[in-house]
Amino acid sequence: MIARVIQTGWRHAWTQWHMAILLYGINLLAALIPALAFHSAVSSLSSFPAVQELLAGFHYTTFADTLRIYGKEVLGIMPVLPWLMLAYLLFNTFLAGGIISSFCNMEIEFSGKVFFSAAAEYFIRFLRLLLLWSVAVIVVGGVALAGIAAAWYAVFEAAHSETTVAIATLCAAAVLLVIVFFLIAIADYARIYIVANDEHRVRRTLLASAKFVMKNLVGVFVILLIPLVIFVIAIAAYLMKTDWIGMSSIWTVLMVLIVQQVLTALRMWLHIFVYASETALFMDEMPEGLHM
Amino acid sequence: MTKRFCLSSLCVPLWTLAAFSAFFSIPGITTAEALSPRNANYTIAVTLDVEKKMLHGIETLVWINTTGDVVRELQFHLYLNAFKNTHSTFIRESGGRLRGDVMTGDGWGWIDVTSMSSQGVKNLRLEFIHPDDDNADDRTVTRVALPVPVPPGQSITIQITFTAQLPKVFARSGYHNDFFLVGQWFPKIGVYETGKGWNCHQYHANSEFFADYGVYDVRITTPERFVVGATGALLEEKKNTDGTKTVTCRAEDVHDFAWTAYPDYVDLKEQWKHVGIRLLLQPEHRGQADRHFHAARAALAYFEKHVGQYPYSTLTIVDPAYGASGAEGMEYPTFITAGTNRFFGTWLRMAEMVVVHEFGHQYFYGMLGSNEFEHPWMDEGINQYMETRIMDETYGAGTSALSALGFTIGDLEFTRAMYVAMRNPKIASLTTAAWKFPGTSYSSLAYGKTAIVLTTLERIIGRAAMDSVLKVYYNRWRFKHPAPEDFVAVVKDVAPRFSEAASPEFLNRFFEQALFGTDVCDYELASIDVKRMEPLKGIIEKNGMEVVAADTAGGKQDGLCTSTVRVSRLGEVQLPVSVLVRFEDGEAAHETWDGLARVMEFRYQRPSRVVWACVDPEEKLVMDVNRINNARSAEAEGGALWKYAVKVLFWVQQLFHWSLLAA
Repeated sequence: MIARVIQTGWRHAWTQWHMAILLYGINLLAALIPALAFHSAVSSLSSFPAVQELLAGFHYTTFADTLRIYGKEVLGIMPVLPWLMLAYLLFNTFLAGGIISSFCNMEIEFSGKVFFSAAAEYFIRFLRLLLLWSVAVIVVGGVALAGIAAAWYAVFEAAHSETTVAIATLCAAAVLLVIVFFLIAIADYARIYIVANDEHRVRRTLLASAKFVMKNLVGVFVILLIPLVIFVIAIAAYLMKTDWIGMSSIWTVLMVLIVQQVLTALRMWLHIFVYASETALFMDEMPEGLHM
Repeated sequence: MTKRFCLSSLCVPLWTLAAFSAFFSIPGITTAEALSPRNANYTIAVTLDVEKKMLHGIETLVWINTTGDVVRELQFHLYLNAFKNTHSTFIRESGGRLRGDVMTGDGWGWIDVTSMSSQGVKNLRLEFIHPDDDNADDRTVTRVALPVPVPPGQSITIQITFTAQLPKVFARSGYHNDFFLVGQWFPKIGVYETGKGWNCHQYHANSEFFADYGVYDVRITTPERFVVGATGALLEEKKNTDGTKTVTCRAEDVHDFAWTAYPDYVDLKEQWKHVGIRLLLQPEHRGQADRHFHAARAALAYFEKHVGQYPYSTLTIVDPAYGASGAEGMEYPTFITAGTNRFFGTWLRMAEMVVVHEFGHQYFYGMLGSNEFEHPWMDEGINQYMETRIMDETYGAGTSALSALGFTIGDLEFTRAMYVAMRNPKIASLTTAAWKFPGTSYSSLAYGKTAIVLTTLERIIGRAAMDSVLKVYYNRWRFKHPAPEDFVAVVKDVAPRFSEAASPEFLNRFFEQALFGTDVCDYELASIDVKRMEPLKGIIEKNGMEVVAADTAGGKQDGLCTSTVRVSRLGEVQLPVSVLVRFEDGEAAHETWDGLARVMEFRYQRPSRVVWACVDPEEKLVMDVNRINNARSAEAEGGALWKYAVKVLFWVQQLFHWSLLAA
């Protein structure tokens, strides 16, 4: 069943490639603001050859001195980042309605008008969902984190070996990942539920979504695990590739920029793929009347 | 006053000679070749109670008065009382935290002298004193009045019995489960200084130790299953009938004795020339045995070549158990503790760095027995300087500390960062006593600043001069107690023979400003101004007549540029510097500047303009707190900035994408 769902998700995600491009474009535009601000802020350092030498490769003393002495310029974008992230999150909450609506109504041909009117239709409900979900994340995540930390610390205190602590750390990370997956899945399926059933009762939807996730745990987790694995592999490849390319001239910097953007676009497509697969799973499990 | 000084100067060697004679007549502690004065000699029998984590000891101390004074009282360190309660000076100063380790509430330690007798008098009366502060609750120094004073050249024998409760490992010493690192564990006599009296400081958070040389005969009894390692040579291991064993150790010409006991050590041995290296390793670190041995061999060879021979026949390296990190990275004579993690590959050379550093203390602390309480830079700082040399030359400059995922840090870079990253590098002078350094400045200054200042000195006077300084310092002061002025005197004696740069004026100013002052060093390539010379215009005199310049000289100066390179001294430290200037046509000019004034300008009139200039291009002034402003281009280049802007773009994109998990 899960294979069929993933196949459907894959097919639908390719069909709706426009959405990946849209998400990528928004992501690029949003990130360009701090990146260009950073470049502008540090341009006063361009007459220092020591800073130029960083182009050839990492040099700790230069890097550390630059951050220490010109940190205000270099890290000037940091206070703005959380606000940009919030704006980005809100905008993507807006877009989510369009994305899910497209996957729920594959028979309707994609158009900007259809997409954005769906996005506008579900925005307020998704926003309420986001707020409620955030509270749930703080409560559930906080309790879970405290529990995991306490367990890890108990192992740490009693351990006679570094290996024990390393295994405990990996286990804690795995448990944390499962909880994070669980919370993300609840939010995703709640959104799908709202669109599929045109549901207005957000709190009820969250509870229903939690029930759905519990019932379809394996399928839900497999769908979320696929992009994570691909992302980890892609980032590892990127780090190795950029190391090999070197970024030591303006041309190699350009090459790395292209690789980076391909990777980012891939991530955006994976995001679309997850929504497509989740919608497919939801439709598969809830064919009649779509009630949970 | 001068006469009196001269007399006492003469007296010291005479009394020292007398003391040596007295010493050689004491049975049981004499050997053919005494390297040190051997005026504090211990015979100790100690039993470890592994259940209660206690020590029961019987100690015989033979102390020889090598000074010119008549000594009427003795003073002893009782270091373990630092862990007795929250009122000790150590806990008050440290707040129960040291080197990233936290003292647990159930890990108290103490030492109790149950009896002390001498000169036929039993139960001598001990009185706790606190010479460094007003903390009457501190129990780490005690004094005992002698029934009969000890005249110069005479010895006194003291019998002591003591019981000690080891603390949970927190600061160097103690236990963790079955692991024991037993340091600063027995009543230890202070150092008597002629005309000054006892130098016997309390145990402080930021301080190590100071003691006289001697011979230690120590018998350690532990349960049979324990592997025992200790200072000096293990002479005998005898099984007892009660399931215990007694290990007999002897260490000559040392000023401390430490030991360890743990059942699970992997006991490995290697020979390097005359030195038997013993590595007591945790089983899970077995894969790093070669790294430990390699670092030890590298350090032995380096010190032998650049400083002097390691005279002892043993070196024991202890790898503390997991959970006993407080015992890591500590030096005792012929016995050092390392520290690693099984997940640290060669990308993080923690094991090597600690072994090299602690081995270096065999010289700067061990054989060159400076006062660690009062002049911490003389052991920690000079040793840190040696560590950077050995690590960078053995494992690669720029990568000797860390090399992972494109990030690299060399030991010298790491050491420099300790100092230059300080919020206020002027906060204290290196003349400050160890426990008086404010906040966390002790390690940044005593270790970092000293090493960086000495590296700067080395690069100014030359490596050959510096090596000669180290050799002369070692030969002149080994097995003695050198003071700061003794080190400075050696530099002033030796360096001028090798380098013109090492003039007396320079060295005086260098030590006053760079080492003992709080001044910082910062030279800046302030600006490069380029002006293209205009053709001469206006009315000029020619052949006694006033003519219009454009008619006669027009175009002659076309193409000439006036370039002005301005160098500034932003810090107070004045050092000679060189300036390298590059012109557009590829030519270069090398300038020198004594670095005394606040500003220096170099002007050039050439067809080609200056495109780049750098103050201190050879990077001699490692202590310069800002290396970014040392060079400047006439025109801005943005390559590196684009590189980092692209990186910022990518990672911000990823960061933003993570926020979609909620959308």
